[in-house]
Parts: sequence; C-alpha cells; structure tokens
Amino acid sequence: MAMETNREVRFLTAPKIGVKTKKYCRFKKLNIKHIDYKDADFLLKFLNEQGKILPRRLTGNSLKFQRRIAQAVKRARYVALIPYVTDLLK
Amino acid sequence: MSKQNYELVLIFTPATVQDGTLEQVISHYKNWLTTHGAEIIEEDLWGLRQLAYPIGKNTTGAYLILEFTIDPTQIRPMEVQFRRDERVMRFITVKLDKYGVEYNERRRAGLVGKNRRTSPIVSRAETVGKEPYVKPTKPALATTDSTDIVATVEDADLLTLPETLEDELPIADATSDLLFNPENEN
Repeated sequence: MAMETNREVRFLTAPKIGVKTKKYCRFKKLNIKHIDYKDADFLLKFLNEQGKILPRRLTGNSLKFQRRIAQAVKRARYVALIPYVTDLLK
Repeated sequence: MSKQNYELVLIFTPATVQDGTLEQVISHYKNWLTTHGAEIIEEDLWGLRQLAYPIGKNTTGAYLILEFTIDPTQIRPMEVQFRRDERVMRFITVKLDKYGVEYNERRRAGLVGKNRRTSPIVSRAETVGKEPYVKPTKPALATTDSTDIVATVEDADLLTLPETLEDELPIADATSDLLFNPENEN
C-alpha cells in the first residue's frame, strides 16, 4: 500500500537524484585562519534556531575548524553575545 | 618570559554607566595594566549593549575590549582583581596566536569583520525578506587578493545563495539573513 501511494507523489520541480555536490570546508577554501568569537553575526551561520551548534555533516567544516567554531561559540555565549538557549534565533 | 598577546573582554554593570564611573573604572584598569608592563594595542569601548541573556538581574552591560601584550605571569593577578570587583560582571582573557594578532590588525584596517551590530541578537525575523539580495559585481571581487577572506561561493547543496562576507556588501546587515543557512534545507 505504501509503495502504491509513494508512486503518486509528483514534484513541481524534478528532484535532483544522483547529483551530489561535494561539501567543503569554507575556512580552508577562503583561507580563514582565525575565528573571532566577538563577531556574533558570523557565528550565527553555524547555529540553528535554538542556538545549538550545527554538526559538521551539515556545515561541511573540517574537524579543525569545527573545533574552533565550537570554541568561539562557547566564548561568545559566555560574554552574552549569543544566548545559551533560545527560540527563533534567526 | 617574553610578553604575549592577549585580548580581554570586560562587561561592566549598567550601574557604572548610570553614575558615570565607567570612565574612571576603565582608566583604573588601563593604568594597572601599563604599570605592570602591558602595552595596550587597542582599546574598543562598545558601550552599553543588550545582553543575550540576563546576568545577575542585569539585561544590559557595558563592553570593553582591550588588546595588549603583557607578561603571562601578570594575567592571574589581573583576573583576581576582576573577580573582586563588583562592577565587573564578566571577563574573558584570550591569548592570541599569530593568526589572531594578524586578524585584529586586519580588522582595524577595515579588511575583515564588520561593524558590530547595535541591536541585540534576539530576533532576526523582522529583517528577513525586506531587502532583495544584491549580487556583488565581478570587478569588486577581482580587486581583492586571494588570501582575503572575502569571496563568493556557490554550493547548490549547502548554500541557498552565494556566501559573501561582509566587506563585499554595503548592506551586509540586511542581507546576512539570506546568506548561508543550512536550516533552510530541512
């Protein structure tokens, strides 16, 4: 039954199947060496709406820079530039 | 022991602003630093600012950012002072590596970073979708050198729009909502 209903699904724009875009680490690509914990707007890119740090599998960051992002976010939270817990951050 | 580069963020209580003692407190700590062998590179007073969450019943705080070089042995006595001072709500001392020093120099030159926002980061909903995204022109990109962190990136998987760092965009504050946001994908 489930299979039958799935076949009925139609998309307005055809979904891209088989087209994979490789994720990349933006810090390596743009040659960013230092992450400023005082720049809250920049750090917001790596947070979800609850103010949680997004995982690497979504952001594509390398491990090295994911660690630095996490460190910077935690510092920014401590100095009250970013809330620890919230809703509708963005 | 040689001197190291440090960056200090101090948050003073709003009471210091109200009774006008803020200048006095700041000069007190700057004097302390200079008499203990510190060389102040940058002093940036953000002023009274909305906190992201209340600290000890205060919802605002006066931010002061200092960058200086000092002997590492002086950091502990300095922090002891801050802990004893009721006027200091929060402080954080961060040792800067060579990239951090370079970043701050470039920030002072206006190359990276952005002018800090004056409004609190509480809700961005009201700014979303008000101004159309303006794609930066190619010649602007060509003038920046390759090591600069400004660049335009397109990635159909992660980025819904080209990611552009602040320096490229004169209206960065309005468009930053339209930049990289993986939440949109879900």
